[in-house]
Amino acid sequence: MVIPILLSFPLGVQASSFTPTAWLGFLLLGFGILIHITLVNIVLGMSIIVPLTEYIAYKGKDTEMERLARRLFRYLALSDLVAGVFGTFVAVILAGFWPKLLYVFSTIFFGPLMISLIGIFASIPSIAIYWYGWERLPKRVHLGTGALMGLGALLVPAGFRVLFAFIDNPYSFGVFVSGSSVAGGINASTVLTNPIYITLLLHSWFGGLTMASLFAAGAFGWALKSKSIWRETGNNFRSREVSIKEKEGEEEEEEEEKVEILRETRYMKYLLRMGLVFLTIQTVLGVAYFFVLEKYVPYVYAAITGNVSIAAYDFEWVLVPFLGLVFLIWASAVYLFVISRRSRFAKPSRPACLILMLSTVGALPLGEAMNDASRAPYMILTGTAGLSANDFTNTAIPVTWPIAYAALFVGIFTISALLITLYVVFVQGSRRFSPERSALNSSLSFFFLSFLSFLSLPSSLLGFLLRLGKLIVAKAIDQVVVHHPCCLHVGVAYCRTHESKSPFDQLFAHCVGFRSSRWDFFDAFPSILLRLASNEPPDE
Amino acid sequence: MTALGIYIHAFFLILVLGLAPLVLLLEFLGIRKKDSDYMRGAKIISQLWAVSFAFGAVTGTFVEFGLYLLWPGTILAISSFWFIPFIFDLFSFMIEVAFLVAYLHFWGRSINQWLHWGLGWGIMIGSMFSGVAILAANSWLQTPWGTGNLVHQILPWVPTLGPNEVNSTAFSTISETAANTGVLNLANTGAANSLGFLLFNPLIVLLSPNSIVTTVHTILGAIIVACFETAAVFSYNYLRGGKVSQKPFYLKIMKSAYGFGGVAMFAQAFAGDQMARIVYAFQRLQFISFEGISPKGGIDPPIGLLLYGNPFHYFRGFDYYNSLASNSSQPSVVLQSVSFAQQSEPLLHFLYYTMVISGSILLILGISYFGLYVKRIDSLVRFVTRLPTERFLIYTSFLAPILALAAGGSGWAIREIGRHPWTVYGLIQYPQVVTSVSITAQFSVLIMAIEVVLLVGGLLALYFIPTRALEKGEEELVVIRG
Repeated sequence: MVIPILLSFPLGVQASSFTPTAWLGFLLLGFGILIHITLVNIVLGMSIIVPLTEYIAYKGKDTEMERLARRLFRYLALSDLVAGVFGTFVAVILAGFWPKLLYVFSTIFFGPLMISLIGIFASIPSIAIYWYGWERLPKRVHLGTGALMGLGALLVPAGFRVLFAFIDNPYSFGVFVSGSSVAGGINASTVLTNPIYITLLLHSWFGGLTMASLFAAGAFGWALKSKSIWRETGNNFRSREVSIKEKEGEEEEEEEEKVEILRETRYMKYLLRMGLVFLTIQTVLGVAYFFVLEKYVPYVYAAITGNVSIAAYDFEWVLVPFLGLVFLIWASAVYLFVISRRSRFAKPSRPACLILMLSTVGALPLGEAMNDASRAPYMILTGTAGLSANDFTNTAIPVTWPIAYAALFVGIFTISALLITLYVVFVQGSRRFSPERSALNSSLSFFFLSFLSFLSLPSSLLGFLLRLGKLIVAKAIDQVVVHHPCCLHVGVAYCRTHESKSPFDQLFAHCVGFRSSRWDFFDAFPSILLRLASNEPPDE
Repeated sequence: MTALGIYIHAFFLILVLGLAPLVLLLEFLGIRKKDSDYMRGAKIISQLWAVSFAFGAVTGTFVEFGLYLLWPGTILAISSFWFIPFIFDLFSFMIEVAFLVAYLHFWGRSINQWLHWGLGWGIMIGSMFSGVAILAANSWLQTPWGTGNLVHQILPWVPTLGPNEVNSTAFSTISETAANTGVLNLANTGAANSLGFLLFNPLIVLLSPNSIVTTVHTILGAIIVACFETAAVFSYNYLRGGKVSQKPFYLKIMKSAYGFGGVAMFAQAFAGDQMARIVYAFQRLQFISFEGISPKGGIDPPIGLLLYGNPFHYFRGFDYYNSLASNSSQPSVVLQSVSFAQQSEPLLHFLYYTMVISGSILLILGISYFGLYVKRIDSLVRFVTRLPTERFLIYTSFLAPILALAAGGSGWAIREIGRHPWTVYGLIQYPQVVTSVSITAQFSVLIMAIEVVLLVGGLLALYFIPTRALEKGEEELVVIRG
């Protein structure tokens, strides 16, 4: 039992409290929910921010804000894609591992689940129409679609959070729990006046808005600092990075960059302003939720405050870092906001941007994990006790510890494969723009997917190694030639002979050994054409 | 409501399963022959593939929610005999998504084209594996393999269904449960726990002979539908006019799709025969219904010849199976099953011959394809139709997908209606798994409206996306790197 105990350590849960099925189901469900909720919060936040930004752009005839809306929308679509996959994951894991719990939800909470379903099917086609309708539909219709998209995104947690509030305190919904059975029904008034549900729902809505706005603000700040030529008028400040441009083109290039810096600084300020407003509301709601837990969910409150005389496990070690992350969010967001107000050319601190992004994305799943896992070993709480999680697991088929471990590793492997692929595609994919413009795509994708990958250790290691490999690659600024007419470039020995034998020493000089990868070890498919030479190398 | 949702979901799944081999074939030809027309065709069809996947996933989510909410007994199914298929399907789906994103993204970019082709194989393997898992789950409803003699005790004409890997007492208890209890009221965890394990070997579900034959038959059907639909799309563009320079391209892709579908029909004929044998072996009542055997019994020369080598073999009718009620542990259930089968006989008979006739015509069309290469067949086609083979293929490419959809739709309808009144054949009936929450007519209309909107949205996307791509013409030429 040592291994399951060690593997369960991150949850602070002793595996010996669970059957293999419950343990596996707990981990897979928790894993899936954490990824899913992180992503849907991005979707929720962006579903409001993007149409709002487009509306501001429309009213002010501001093409720059319109451009911001379009850029942010791409990340909404990406997040929605991955969130949908993990939504399916959660649904199947619930049915396979927690059938009795799902049965309770599907009968007692038929109405709330239908509300969530309506929300999902309002938002999905809205996203598609919003995407294809940009500049094709009349602006008001497009904005209306955006409003529908936002409404749909808000409806989804409006349904699902009823379930979360229920498992915290079923009596607050008038649902009868006795011994091993759960029975009863709910109505709209019990739901809408339920303090746990209302606080949790508002906390979820503003959590999504805060996360989306501040994460994007941090990403813009990070991208700002990656400009290869950076100059601030009057302070004689200059980036040390080297330009490969001709001198006469350099000034034009720098002017373009200045415009871009101005624009992206404006984006960052806009998102920071918005994010700080949401963060303020979210902090108030967070405090309110804390007091609601104390009054209505004493078991969870005891667990997160370390009162092990009531709770079986101490989750204070999760609460403290969570509060630390909240503090870091505040500190970094305020700092960046102050910095950005000082000058038209913002020079954001990269560490602050990194802290803001990581703490924003980290706080949400940490808070969710704390809220959900702290109920262990119970599933449905009834004051200071509850119905055991083991009672709701699948008892229809035998699951032994070896099978549980094998299933967990297969699950992690599969999820890692998905996240790594998305990482490669969306970070590598940003290379079709110039590196400066790709910086936002790259940084957003990198941090976001790396964080998700971190939840799955194998992929996080590979993901970071992939990123590390990029640091030693020579970076081209713009307009890199990718087609090499080898027969013409005598002096540029990039090709290899069509003959099978070539001088050994020449292979390295011609980079053939690395297929012209130019030390980009991790990039198996570089941005140059891979083909055999039609001629011998010029040196031979 | 559920049937409509499942059929709409299946429509998109058929395209996902069926377009995969076609795209890979075209891409292979394009790389091998360095032919940009094949590559362009593959790229356009891969967009259809992606749209079908997206709508398949969306409608699948809808169906999943519907099953959980309206048929909560499926929750018990997923936690027991559907556990392995659904978990396999889940992980296959995630692998599919990963490969699909990579495949679409790297198209035409700096990547070795054979590697790109390999990514396509990843999608196809993921989707095939997913199909295998879900079809295994459905097949288990038809033939609950691993229940030994349990079903035979209830329905005496059913043979032994594999080794006994289930808790017979638990299943007997479930089968005797009253209707609308969502299968033993799972909310009472004590009652559910008292049943113990339902299945001792969860993997047995994948080993059913019904599952193997159904998978082959369904995947071939999907290929046929997808290929002929693709052929119709390109024939339409060929006949519509437009740039003369594009016509060879349309014709080339149309022929490839038509040929692939035609060749698949030969294998499908064999698979269909095997499927009928499985139904005859394990679901005798369904067989009698769709063959239209008289209640007192009779001969069916073609079937007798195929099954027994004797055209005068005597097939027993419903009266005989009614008489077996006395041998059953639940006589009323036997009479109920026979009664259902008799009532649905006219419909099943019609559907069956729709399927067989459609399939036969498709087989003939498949043979006619070889008129492009074999003079005798070309002569025969010209003699019968007064058209050269190429023209014949262009015109019949509009008929072929209709026939393919008719055959596939009829086949699935026979399968599902023929199982009535059973959810799990011989063990669990529909009323035992449906929700206890009353469903209003307005609710049903709302859900069906959403389903239809999803279907229409998907069809529009399937029309507009390749149409835009085709209209771009030679600008969309794909550079081959390899």
